Amino acid sequence: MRNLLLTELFKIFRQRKTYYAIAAVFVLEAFIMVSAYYQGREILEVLLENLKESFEFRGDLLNANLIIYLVLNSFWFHIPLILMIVVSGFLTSEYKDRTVEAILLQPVSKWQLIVSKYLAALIFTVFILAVLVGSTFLLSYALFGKGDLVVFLEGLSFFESREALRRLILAFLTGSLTMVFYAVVSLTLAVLLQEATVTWIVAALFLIGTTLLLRLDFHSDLLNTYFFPKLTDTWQSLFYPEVPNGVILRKNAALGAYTFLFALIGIWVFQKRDIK
Amino acid sequence: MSWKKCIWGILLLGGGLCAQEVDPDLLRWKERMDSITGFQARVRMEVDISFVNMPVKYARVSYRKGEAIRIASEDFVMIPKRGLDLTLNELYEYPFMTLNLGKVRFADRECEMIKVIPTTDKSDYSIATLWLDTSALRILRSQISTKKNGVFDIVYRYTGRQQELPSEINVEFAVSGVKIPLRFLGKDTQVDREGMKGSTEEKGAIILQLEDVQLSRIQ
Repeated sequence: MRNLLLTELFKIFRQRKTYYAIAAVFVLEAFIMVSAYYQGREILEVLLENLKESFEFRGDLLNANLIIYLVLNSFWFHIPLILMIVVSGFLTSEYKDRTVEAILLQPVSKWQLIVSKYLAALIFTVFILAVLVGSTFLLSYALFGKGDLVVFLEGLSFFESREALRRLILAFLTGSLTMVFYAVVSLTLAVLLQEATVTWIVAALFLIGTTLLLRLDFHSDLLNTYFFPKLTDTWQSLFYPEVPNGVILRKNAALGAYTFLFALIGIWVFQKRDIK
Repeated sequence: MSWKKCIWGILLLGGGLCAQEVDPDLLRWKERMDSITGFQARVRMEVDISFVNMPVKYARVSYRKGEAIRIASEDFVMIPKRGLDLTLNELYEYPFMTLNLGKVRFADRECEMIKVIPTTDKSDYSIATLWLDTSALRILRSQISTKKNGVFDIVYRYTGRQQELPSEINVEFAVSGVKIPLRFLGKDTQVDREGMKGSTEEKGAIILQLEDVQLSRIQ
């Protein structure tokens, strides 16, 4: 099993698309930073406009913490999309190249192979997020410097630099669970659909559908809290003035359970299905 | 003669009140404040606006006679446009006249209610009302109607009996609610400026507390 996992990781880091994914993350990050540099001040101006009549402002809100927060907002769509496309390719490319059959001709069980794929997807996701978080924090602090964070979430909330940093780190950790969920779902879709293009389209539709369902009111507390689309924005709760720690822990546990369930479905289907 | 002067002239004649160039009690207070050549203090700022969540902030404020107030802070701070001018220099920067409306009680103290009306168009305020505690010679409240920034209602609290400068200042103002997008830098970033301007106004306040006040005055 360990060797299988190492082989999977070796394959991932030998593939060109892995580096495209890393490049895509850097491009996205650079785009956010450049647009924040040129448009950030205008956005802040618009949002503080109504307070301008009564107040003068001292200090710069266009700082590293705001940039990191903007990069964190790529967890809504861009980062999961990149992850879903790349991770689903771990299996669809093997179906296409018929290397699955070659592997299974070795003394390797089907469940071991698919579990190693899920574990490799998990490690890859964590690696990409580590690259994103590390480079974002480094570049942002080097280029923009520290300062208070302003967030617009059911009000205008200001966090002092140290508190902002703490919340941003926790939000990235919580958001990572959502990214792992999307990565696992995309691999399960690859198991179910096998064909690369179809899997990408369905994965993108899944992401769009989840984002739309997140905003829908189901008129049921249970569905509004624990239906999986409602669990994908838990990281945002870290920016409420009073952090609902209990809710965050319960939602993260529920999302973990969904992630495990989607992985189990993929493993079960892969195990049952004949490799053609 | 400007229309403001006409209206006040009619009011004075009709009400039998006595208009003065400058109220003598206000002059006494101004002389007292003029003896202050400067001060330094640490200001604790607590914002009280329904849609703003901001931790208590601190800043250093320093004033030298004849210069604008300087405020320094390491953090991002929101400084009220009125309230920190403790000597009320703004009111007598340009020619003005006063109107004493008589005695009123405020904060369990007997005060003179004095209207300050600028006599030129240069001043930033259109009218100010002062609640002057003539026995302690301190301003307890001021209501300044500005030309551009609305009305500021400022209440001053003092700790010692001889203290010239207040230890707490409560600044109230009207503020329009902001339409807050769920997230920004995305499609939800679109903020309707006109909608924002048209949204209902509410009362906001900032409570300023002066600590470690170092006052220098003419000997």
